Amino acid sequence: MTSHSRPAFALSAGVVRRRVHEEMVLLHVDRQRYYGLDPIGADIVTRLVTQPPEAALDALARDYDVERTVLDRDVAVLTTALLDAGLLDRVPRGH
Amino acid sequence: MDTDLSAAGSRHLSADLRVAGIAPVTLPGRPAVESLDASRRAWRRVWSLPDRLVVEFVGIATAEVHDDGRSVVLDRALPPQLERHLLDDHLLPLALARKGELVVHAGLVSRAGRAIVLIGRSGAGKSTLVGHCGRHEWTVGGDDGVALRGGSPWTAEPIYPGLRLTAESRALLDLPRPRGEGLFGKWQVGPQETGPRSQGPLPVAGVLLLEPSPLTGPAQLCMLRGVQAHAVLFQGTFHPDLGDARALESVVDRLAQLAEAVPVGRLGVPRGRAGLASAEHLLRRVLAG
Repeated sequence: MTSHSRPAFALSAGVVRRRVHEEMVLLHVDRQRYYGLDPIGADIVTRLVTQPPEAALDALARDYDVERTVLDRDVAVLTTALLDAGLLDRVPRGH
Repeated sequence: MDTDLSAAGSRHLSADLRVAGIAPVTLPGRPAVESLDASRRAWRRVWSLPDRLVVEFVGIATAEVHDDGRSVVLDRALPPQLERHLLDDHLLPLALARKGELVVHAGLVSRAGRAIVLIGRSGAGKSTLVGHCGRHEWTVGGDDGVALRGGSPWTAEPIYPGLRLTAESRALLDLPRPRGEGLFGKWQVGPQETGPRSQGPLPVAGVLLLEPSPLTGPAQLCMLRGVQAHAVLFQGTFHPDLGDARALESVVDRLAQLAEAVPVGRLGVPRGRAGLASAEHLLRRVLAG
């Protein structure tokens, strides 16, 4: 399996994920940092941690009928926020 | 099918905790989970150890709560009212949370056998609204801690059936001026003043976050879903105060189940009698579903 066929992101160790209705709670239990995602954010994170990045982004662009450039920008904003909060980690290439 | 939940193996939660002795309590040599006051000063420090809790009430006393779930050691003798307050309002909720109960900082009122849980930080007005409801044909459960249990239906049980009010709140509820010395500016209110107390678990009709409103006019109710509902519940729990990371995963999961099963909302209550009256009407609406 190549690095391009693996997800690019993973939930950080110590992060609890739980769906509540269509939304998602992320809690870093050690840092006690609590984060909530709306249904779209929840869907984005779920796909990014379970699918290879290009497949996830292609599917999101198709399912939400949005231009890829707009999607890439919005996803970058979300992932940056989650990375900065310590809730998400980048999966090293070649790992 | 009606189920007599109050007889279904429930016991009075506060009967579990008593002071076993006065002895020196060693503060653990590791960081505590601190609770801060409005001036960002620590007023309580909690250490969750493998076999006990150590709780320092800064400038007041330090307590050790052992995992037999019943005995507390204090590092000094305290006046009875203060001792009871620390046991019921602070140590018991923490001890119950540590034992796996889902415990929230909340008051409880009930009517027709169903409960509404009122979550709120200290000073939000829980006790005043609970007292007001007690004087308007609701049954008072308590004003400071509630244990929530999953099931069909979810149930709520007050940690202890007490109610304490400031002199200002007593006047607002047309209660006589308090006598004697209060504790931290509050006085116990008896059943003769606000009606009978409920103690056992009751089905939950709703959980509301109580927020004082700076506005005039009627109280405002906003029902919540999803993450907003979960966040309201989470911020009301005692579990983060324990600093037990492993237990939080279960708490998050159970709160999600609760948020999906029970109406959750925010109740903004303006100060004053009109605010209380309109809030009480909104509680009746929540009860009616």
